[in-house]
Amino acid sequence: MLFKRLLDIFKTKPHSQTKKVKKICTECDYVYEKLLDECPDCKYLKILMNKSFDEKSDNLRVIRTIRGETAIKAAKDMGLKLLELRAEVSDEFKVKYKKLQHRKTGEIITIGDFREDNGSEWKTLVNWTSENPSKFFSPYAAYVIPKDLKKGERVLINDVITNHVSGRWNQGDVYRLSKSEATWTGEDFYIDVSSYAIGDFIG
Amino acid sequence: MKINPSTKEIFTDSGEFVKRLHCPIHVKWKAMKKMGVDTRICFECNKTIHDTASLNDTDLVRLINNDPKACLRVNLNHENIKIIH
Repeated sequence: MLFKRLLDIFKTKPHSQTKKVKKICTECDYVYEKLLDECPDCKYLKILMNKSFDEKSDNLRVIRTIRGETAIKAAKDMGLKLLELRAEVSDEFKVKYKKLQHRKTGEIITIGDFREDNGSEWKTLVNWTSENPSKFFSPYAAYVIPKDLKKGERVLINDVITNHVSGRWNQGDVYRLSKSEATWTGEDFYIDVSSYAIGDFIG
Repeated sequence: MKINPSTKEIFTDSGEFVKRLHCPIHVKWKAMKKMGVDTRICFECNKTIHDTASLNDTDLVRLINNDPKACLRVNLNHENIKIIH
C-alpha cells in the first residue's frame, strides 16, 4: 500500500513517445527498455521499503543503493540520510562474446572465450563483439546511510555506484565491481575492492 | 573446466555442473600458507584450498564427489579455465 502511495506521489511523467524496444510500466507508466526485467523506477522505490536490507549479511549491515530521481526524491521526503553520487559507467569495462549456431541442430550458443571458438560445425551469427555490460538507467544515484552508522563501520554494498575494476582477464575482458564491502569514513564509503574482486575465485 | 564469473559456478568442459564457489571470509590466496604445490591452508578456517590450475575435469569431479565442500581456487588466467557467461 505504501509503495502504491509513493508511486502516486513521486512517479515521473512517461516519455511522450514509445519505441518498439521500450515498454511502459503498468504500475507507474514509466517508459523503460524492454530488455530490463522490471521497471527501474519501481525497482528502486521497492528497495527503499525492502525490509531484507535491515538484516545483516555476512555479519555486515547492508547499504541500500537507489537510482533515479524518483527514488531519491522519495527517500528525501521520507527523511532518510543520503550520500548522493553521480553514476556514470566508465568505458573501461568490457566483456566480449560471439554468437554461434549449430549447422545441423540449429542450437544457438554464446561463447566468451577465444579457445572455445574452434568448431566448423558452428556458423557465426554475431562475430566477436565487446560490450560494456554495465548500464545505469539514471545518472542520479545515492546510498541510503543508516542514521546510526558509525565512522569506521564495515558494511556491504550490493550495488556500488562508483567505478572500480573487479578483475581483468588476459583475453581483454575488464569486469566492473558491482558488489563490495566498504568502510564508512564519516563522509563517504571507502570501497574495499579486494573484498569482491575477481581474478582469483575461492570457495 | 569452465567458470561463469557472474555466478561463480564451475562446470566441466562438457557443461556438467560441478560446484558454486562461495567464501564469506575473502582471504587472499597469497595470504594462505603453502602446503604443497597445489594446496594451501586458509588461516581463518583451517581448510585446505585446492588450486585448480593443474586439475583436469576428471580430477576436479573426483575431488568434489569425495568432498562436496572442498574449497577450490580458480584463477581466470589459468590455461585450463574457460570463461562462460
